Amino acid sequence: MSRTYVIPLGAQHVSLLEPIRFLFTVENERIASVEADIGFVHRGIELACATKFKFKQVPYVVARVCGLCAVVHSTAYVTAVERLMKIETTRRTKWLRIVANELDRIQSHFIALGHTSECAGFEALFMACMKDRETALELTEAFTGNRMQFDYVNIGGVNRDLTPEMALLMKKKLSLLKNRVNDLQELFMSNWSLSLKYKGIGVVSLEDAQRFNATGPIARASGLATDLRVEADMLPYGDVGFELALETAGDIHSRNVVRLRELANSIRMIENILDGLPVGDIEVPVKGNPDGDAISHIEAPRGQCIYMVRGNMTSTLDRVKIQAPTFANIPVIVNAFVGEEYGNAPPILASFDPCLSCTAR
Amino acid sequence: MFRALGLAFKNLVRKPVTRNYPAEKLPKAARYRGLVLWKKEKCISCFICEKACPPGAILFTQNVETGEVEFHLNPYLCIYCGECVRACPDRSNALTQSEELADAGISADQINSSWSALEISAADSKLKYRARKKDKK
Repeated sequence: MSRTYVIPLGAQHVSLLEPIRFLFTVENERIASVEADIGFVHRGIELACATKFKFKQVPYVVARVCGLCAVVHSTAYVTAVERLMKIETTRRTKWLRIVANELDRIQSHFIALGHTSECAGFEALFMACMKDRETALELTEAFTGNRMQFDYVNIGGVNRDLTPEMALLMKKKLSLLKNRVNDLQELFMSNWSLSLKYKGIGVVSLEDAQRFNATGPIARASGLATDLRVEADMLPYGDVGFELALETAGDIHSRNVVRLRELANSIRMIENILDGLPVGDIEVPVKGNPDGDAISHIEAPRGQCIYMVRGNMTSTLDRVKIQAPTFANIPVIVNAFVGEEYGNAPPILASFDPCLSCTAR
Repeated sequence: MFRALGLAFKNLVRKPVTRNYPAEKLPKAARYRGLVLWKKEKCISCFICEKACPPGAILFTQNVETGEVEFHLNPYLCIYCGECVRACPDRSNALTQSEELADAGISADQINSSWSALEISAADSKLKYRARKKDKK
């Protein structure tokens, strides 16, 4: 005999970092259908960008869209405005922007891995991940001057240069971090109790990933080879040794593996940049006001982040449209729950690493 | 298993990785982004920093008689981005970013509660001074 229950998850729940509400319709233990409500943290940032702030101040406003991927939003915005105003930034600027974005990706992936292991009941691994994330945060503090909310990029350049002492410190800490990532990789790959909660659970098939237009590590874990770091030419990722991390299983385990491989690749890229940073200025003078439309695509830690900017020859913009990665991934997340056991809902949700401040903005 | 036991024993006698925070000060990164400092004698009263500040944490009030300016910074509104310092024509002389932090207690000088009134009076004083200057000519 089967009975149907409706169970809400959220808006406040231990497996959630930010408020989102799911309504699960459960038949015995299996999830039959899911509804999602995502608009709990709407702050009207798009409107504020187009009314209250001047276009040179907006990089600092859009950085407040999200705490975890702050620099991605600023980078996407400034590249869009630079396209609009036909500003060619120096090569050094672009490489330094990559360093900031990759440091951001490292700390974001660590929190995602830790959170997934916590939801699988492995509290000690969560703490280990957060301890390693601390190393990444110390690096960002040394590099940009702040642990979170880097405020590192501005229109035409970056805010501070990389000094040789800083590069030395970063290299030292990155080599420590590299060993830790290797240890974690071994643990995530071979731990038997983790595999019970991870392998074959929350599967997103390649067809589903294509049909719902998944992005980021979720798409790459299902075998969909999409990454804006190679597809778009906003930042020169090809020059610094980018490798695409691709898995095919599509379950929680392969999403973790994609994140771990991306961590290793990010560390390698930063080391390459530190070795061969081009010399030059870090700022280009900006004159005039933007006019017309421009779009920029940047790969955020969670997927593609798209900005549309429209100027009108005044210092205030007409429109700033933000397409955040989690917003594009919500249909995939909802679909992946169906057919799973309700007890597996928290780890599945955590493995998607949803960022709801980005989604609702 | 022996490896795990060895590790457990090592962790038992090892010093803690955390710091004894309130008693022991945390190390600060070099070039930490702290309070913005203003030097009166170097300032040319162009007010560019006031216009550039994203959250509007900088205000200048102007003496209507003498035209002397006074700098107000709200450290609890400031996001420490350093945009004002980069906008300053006399960068690193008139306006600098120190490594000092503001006091943790907002109630110490009540700057937040009087900030909106200061915003109005700052704009007002500048308008009055400009009108007076025009009249003199």
